[in-house]
Amino acid sequence: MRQLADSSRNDKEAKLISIYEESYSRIARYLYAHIGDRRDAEDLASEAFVKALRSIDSYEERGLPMEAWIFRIARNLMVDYLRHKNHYREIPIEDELVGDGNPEQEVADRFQQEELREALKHLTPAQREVISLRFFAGLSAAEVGEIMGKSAGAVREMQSAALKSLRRIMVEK
Amino acid sequence: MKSFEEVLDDCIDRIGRGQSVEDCLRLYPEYAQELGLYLRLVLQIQTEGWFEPSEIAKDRGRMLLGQEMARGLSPETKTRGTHWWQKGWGKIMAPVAAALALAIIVYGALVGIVPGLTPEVYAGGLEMVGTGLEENTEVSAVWVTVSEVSVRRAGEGGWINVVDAPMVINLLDPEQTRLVSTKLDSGKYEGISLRVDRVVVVIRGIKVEAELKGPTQVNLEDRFEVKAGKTTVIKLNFGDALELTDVERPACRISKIRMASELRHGMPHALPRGPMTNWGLSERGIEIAG
Repeated sequence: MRQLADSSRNDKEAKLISIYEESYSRIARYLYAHIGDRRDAEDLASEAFVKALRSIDSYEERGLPMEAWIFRIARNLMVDYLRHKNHYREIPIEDELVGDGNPEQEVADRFQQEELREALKHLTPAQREVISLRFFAGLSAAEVGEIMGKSAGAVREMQSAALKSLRRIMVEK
Repeated sequence: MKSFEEVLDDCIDRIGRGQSVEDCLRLYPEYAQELGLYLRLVLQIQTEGWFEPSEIAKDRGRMLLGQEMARGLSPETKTRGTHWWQKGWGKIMAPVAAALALAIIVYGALVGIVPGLTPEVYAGGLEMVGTGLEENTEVSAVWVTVSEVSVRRAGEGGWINVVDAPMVINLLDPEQTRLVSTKLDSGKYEGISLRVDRVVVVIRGIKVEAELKGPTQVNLEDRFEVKAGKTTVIKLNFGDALELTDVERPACRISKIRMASELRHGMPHALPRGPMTNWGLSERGIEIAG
């Protein structure tokens, strides 16, 4: 029996490692959409996988897909993080610049990202979640639905409403 | 007829697969005007919100996962409820000096423990090919915890810690061969030191803690140079793998493990199939393809 349990755990661990390779970037981008700090988003994404690994025995293969389960863990960590920080942290632009590109362009990009995140704050939490999972993490409406516990149809409606709101907010600016 | 929400969702998926906004508008002319506005907004969101996590961050995550897997072997060492922002994980990987990069990549089997066998350090284009990983192989993983990696500058005698947090590598996993990547001042170096704290072997799906014999500080007395503006890749090839004795079946409990190291220049010595007891010296190891 113990051998069977160990074998099942090893299978789940192997699957988790495989999902890490495929989905780490998507989870980091999803987190970044909410917290606006690249390094913290990267670290939080890693933490989500470590937490998933610690709870791997409680994961049921026949229930939620493992990737969706890890996204939920990431979301809970993000909520804790924001509660801990108590506000959206403002990141000095010069601290966040990376890469070998044009610094002026990078500053302009950062301003645009900040504007976008400002606009996202005006959405409802559920709409913001749909936008971050759909457009930052690149998940399908059905996958977003699995994470949020909604139908794909409900996600499509929230997505449409969120885009309408965002457009209105950005045009008004 | 599809609703606007369905059409919008379909087009977002199509754009995600590489189609253009115009392609989508041609597909749904009845919605073209409104659809165009929202699809361009979607493109704007995806462009402005995009960032690619760094390879260093991904490596750090792999390292944390490896540590957690090894830690999971003994329940008393599990730590729960500690978060990276409380522990300052982000600072651990901070560069040692803002000059050049040194990447040390461990290949092959276990870090050498037997005195007198000094692995040679060399740079070159070896790739590790993990073998013995098929389903019928009895050993599926060899987790080694390395708690310190230091290098010594030529002539000065002092050691520079390039990593001081424990990391766990699976020596049979070709995807997890990078031990450390950090920055160093350019110049000549004459030694690398690694401290091995723990070895865990997975045999037939059962994780078994190995008992380390002998010193766990491994000093490699070889010279290498870190050149300005270049990344120096040091590949360490530790040869012979492990000798297991006193294996109590069926629990596969290992009461003793001895490790040896030796440089192999690309020629393999494959991990044998079958029971791990009483291996001949020539049969042990990890296959390295040059």
